[in-house]
Amino acid sequence: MRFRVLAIVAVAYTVGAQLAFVVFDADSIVVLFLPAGVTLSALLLRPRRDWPWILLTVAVLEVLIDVGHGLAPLSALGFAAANTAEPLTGALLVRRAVPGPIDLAQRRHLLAFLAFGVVAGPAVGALIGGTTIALDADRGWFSSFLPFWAGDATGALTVAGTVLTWRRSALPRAATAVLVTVAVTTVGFWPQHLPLFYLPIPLLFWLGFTQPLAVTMPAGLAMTVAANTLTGAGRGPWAALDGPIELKTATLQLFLAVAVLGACFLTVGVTERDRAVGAAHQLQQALLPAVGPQLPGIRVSAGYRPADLTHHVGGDWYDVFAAPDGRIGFAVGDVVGHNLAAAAAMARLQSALRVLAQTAAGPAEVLAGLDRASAVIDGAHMCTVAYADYHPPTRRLRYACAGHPPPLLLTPQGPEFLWEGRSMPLAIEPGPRPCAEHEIPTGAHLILYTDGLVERRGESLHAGLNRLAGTATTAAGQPGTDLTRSLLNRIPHGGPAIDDAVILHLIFEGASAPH
Amino acid sequence: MKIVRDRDGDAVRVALTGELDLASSDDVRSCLEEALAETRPARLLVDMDGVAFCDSTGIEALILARQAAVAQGTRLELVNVHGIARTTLEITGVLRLFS
Repeated sequence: MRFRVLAIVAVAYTVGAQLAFVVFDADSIVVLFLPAGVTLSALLLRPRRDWPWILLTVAVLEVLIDVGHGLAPLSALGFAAANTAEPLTGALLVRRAVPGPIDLAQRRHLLAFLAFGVVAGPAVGALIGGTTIALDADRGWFSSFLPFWAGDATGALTVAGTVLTWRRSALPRAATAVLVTVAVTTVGFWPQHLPLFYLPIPLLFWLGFTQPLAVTMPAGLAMTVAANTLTGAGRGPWAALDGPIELKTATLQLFLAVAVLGACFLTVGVTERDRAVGAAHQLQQALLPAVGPQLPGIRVSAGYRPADLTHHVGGDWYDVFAAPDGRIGFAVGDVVGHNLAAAAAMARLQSALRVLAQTAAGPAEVLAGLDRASAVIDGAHMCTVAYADYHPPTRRLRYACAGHPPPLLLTPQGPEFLWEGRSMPLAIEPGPRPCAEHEIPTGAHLILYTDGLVERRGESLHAGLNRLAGTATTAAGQPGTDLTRSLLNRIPHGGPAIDDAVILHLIFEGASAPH
Repeated sequence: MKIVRDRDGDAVRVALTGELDLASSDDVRSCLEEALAETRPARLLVDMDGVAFCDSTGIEALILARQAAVAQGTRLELVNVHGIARTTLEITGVLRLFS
């Protein structure tokens, strides 16, 4: 394994260094030094015991390549020292900050990589390498230091960034991104007196926004290599610039590094947001009970449809459980807000409701109890709940709605909304709550839902309710149709669903006709 | 959302025009609370004539403003509520809080 790694490092380092000499022409304004990233990533990915071997390989190669290109042996030793001290410094510091596996999509990891691997390490390399150049080529020290630093920093950022985020599964997308990026960069860096060099930036940012770093980083590397290759060939605005060579060099690398960094930061931001939303979605899904066939006298199915906006997390819930005296209790609720806090408030209300239903005399008392409970539950203010219980032997349904849209009852006589037992949402004003009763015929359906199912912008809620009644009647009349699914799939918005929605669907069976 | 405040005898009238939803509810709430704090009227009338749409965040803004009003002894009433806004307030059961 170690020899394979050393072979890969040797080949990649040699190719990169030759590229620096031949294509980028080490004497010209281009100083991009890709091997800086090869050594850095090798050290970061391998255990410490491999480091001496990696550094020794790099040092020997550096001397051989330099001497091969006609440099004095002493200068070659200077560059060898620079190109080993640099990744060693970077890797030691990065490893102090991030001991475990490195994930550049995490803010802390990325910042450590940038501060130590991209800025500090190459600064050390440039101290040694710049001094070597200054002594060897009799140039000013600063005009030797600055290009060395910029070239190594950009090489470390793009190559080590690509290696550290490498994922085989992203390879096809990464290859496409690289091809497109090279094409766009070529267009941007072809004309000399037409400033188009910024053309790859929107592409890179779009990748950063939509793709993992395993796609964005190779694209950034491709842009860097393409831009430097074209500039080295005398194309593009930097080749045509007047002014001190070290400033041109540094600003070209700075431009490229800034573009790649911008894309990285976008990815980190998106990843952090998605992590939070993912956690909230998981919590919400975990809180919705699995609805099984174990309750007597009814068949239950339920469904949840999240809003299409990915950062939108709902506070909608449903629940079905056994209540005292052989009753079955069921609830649907909607907490104001769309974040983790809303999901947490929903969880607390759901538990409170289950507990209250075990002792309360009926739905009105359950809601009155929830009113009191919600005073001490953050985020429960203005929550709407529909709670009902059903007693199979007497076929009596008792229900109460706190600010919640009315349950829909489907009987052979047609659809009917249960408009009684209404009161305002939770935790607004204490006081008794009304409750209503209804006798349920055999084979009737009852549908409880949240407003995301019926609300449409610029339209009366009544229109949404009528639509629901129509769809539900049709679906219930077709045996074998999954009513929950067909209601949830019929998005009432004509566009993306802006609110999440839950449905609880009950079919009341005959007392002596179990299914 | 356009919000206009004027005096109406011993009452203060705040006329809302537009859609009372997530985008505007914070503005509406702070305007109402500002009107309460600055004028301390006996009655605060919220004129809903120009409100074409009201969702749950809009209702919450009205209810929170009402709580602030009750706390300082002001009656907050909704006037000219009709259309979709009225239906929404009726169905959620909060309309009677404001009359």
